[in-house]
Amino acid sequence: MKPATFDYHAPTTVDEALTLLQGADDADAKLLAGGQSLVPAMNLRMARPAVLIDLNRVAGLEGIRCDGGEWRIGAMTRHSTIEDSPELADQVPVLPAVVAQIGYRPIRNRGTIGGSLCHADPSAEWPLLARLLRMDIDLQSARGSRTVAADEFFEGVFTTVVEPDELLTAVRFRLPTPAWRWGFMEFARKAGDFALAAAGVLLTVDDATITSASVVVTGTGGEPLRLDAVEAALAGTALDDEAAARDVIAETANGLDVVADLHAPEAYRRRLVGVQVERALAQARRPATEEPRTR
Amino acid sequence: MTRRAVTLSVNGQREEILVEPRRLLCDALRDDLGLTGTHVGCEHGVCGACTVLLDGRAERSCMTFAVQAEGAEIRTVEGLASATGELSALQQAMWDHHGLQCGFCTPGVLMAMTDLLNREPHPSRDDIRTALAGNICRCTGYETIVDAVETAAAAEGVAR
Repeated sequence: MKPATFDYHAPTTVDEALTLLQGADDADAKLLAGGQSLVPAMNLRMARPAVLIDLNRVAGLEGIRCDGGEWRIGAMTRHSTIEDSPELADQVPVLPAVVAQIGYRPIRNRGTIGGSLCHADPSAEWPLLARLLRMDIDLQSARGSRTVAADEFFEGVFTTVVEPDELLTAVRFRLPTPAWRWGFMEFARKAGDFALAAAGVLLTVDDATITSASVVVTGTGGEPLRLDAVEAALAGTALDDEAAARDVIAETANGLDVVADLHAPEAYRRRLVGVQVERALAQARRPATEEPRTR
Repeated sequence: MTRRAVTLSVNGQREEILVEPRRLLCDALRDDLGLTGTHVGCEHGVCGACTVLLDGRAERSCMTFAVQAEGAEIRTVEGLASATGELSALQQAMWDHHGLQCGFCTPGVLMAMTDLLNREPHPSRDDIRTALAGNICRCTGYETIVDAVETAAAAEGVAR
């Protein structure tokens, strides 16, 4: 099908975009980032915004930089830019490795981090990454700006705290110290397909001991979930203690509140989430030289 | 709905079209410019048949509006062969390996694989398969497509 008609605006500055957004308050306005979810939804007439504000020509929303240990990624940065960034591959390898699994290359060439976070698809990679790395998410409106922690940002399926007049401008994060390791594993029916389940593990390591852990999963049918019990069980254990937290992972996965669908009944989904966590954790424990395998 | 003038370059030729904002890029290419080589399959980004190169990068033309392509350089399947009709190395390899059956997915496959070879001149069979996952061939002729891409990759120094 083809999209319904809409008024189209292509602002060139953030202020101009925010003014348009505020002015269109009651008119069902949508911001258009990469459009890799919004445009298909419009083609299927599942979305019929009256006003479309295209962010693709807005200056200053794109780019990756690191200032004094704080990383900042602009909202309109394309997935493929992150996938190809030598700086990230060197310093934050978890990002390019995971982002390379978003859809297919033609989709990654257009889709953006900000768009994916605001869309909040329950199976998407970016919401999981935002929680895994405890990102701060910067929002701006004509009323002012605010920062929301990723743990507070998602409110459920396709739902976030972003107000109708707000624009996500960037995410910011710092890496754990003194050292950290990561693991990520997702299960999909084929490369690039929506993941049935995924797990990310970030271990803060000091002298071969896990001092703290971040463990986030998707696949339950809701927003990405932080597994507090698994994180607590891992803290203080030896990095090479492969039995650590094993029982807690199984117990936590078995107790997950999941939504069954056509692809996977409840019991299978719980099992799948647990297995992804175990595999992501095993990957995080691996010797640093070993090439990560993420699917 | 008001139409907008959009100026873009398609296969090296400057074009001006008058389109509604809701006009998808794939429909502008096919219906406004008569370039029907770009195929429209699923219209929601899954099948890959509408893949074109936008400013040198493979993108789905069903998930971009034509108005967004203002000033862009687009390359479609019609722009792969030389002006004298000589096939690109990839097109020739597709021919030689029988990389197409009904041909519906072929334009998208060619554009996506041209993009792959531009980025990664020597992909492994696994790399090719992963990249090809975004293009659905309902004749299921994937094996010969992978053979063709592998052969094109081996034809070093051939202009793509």
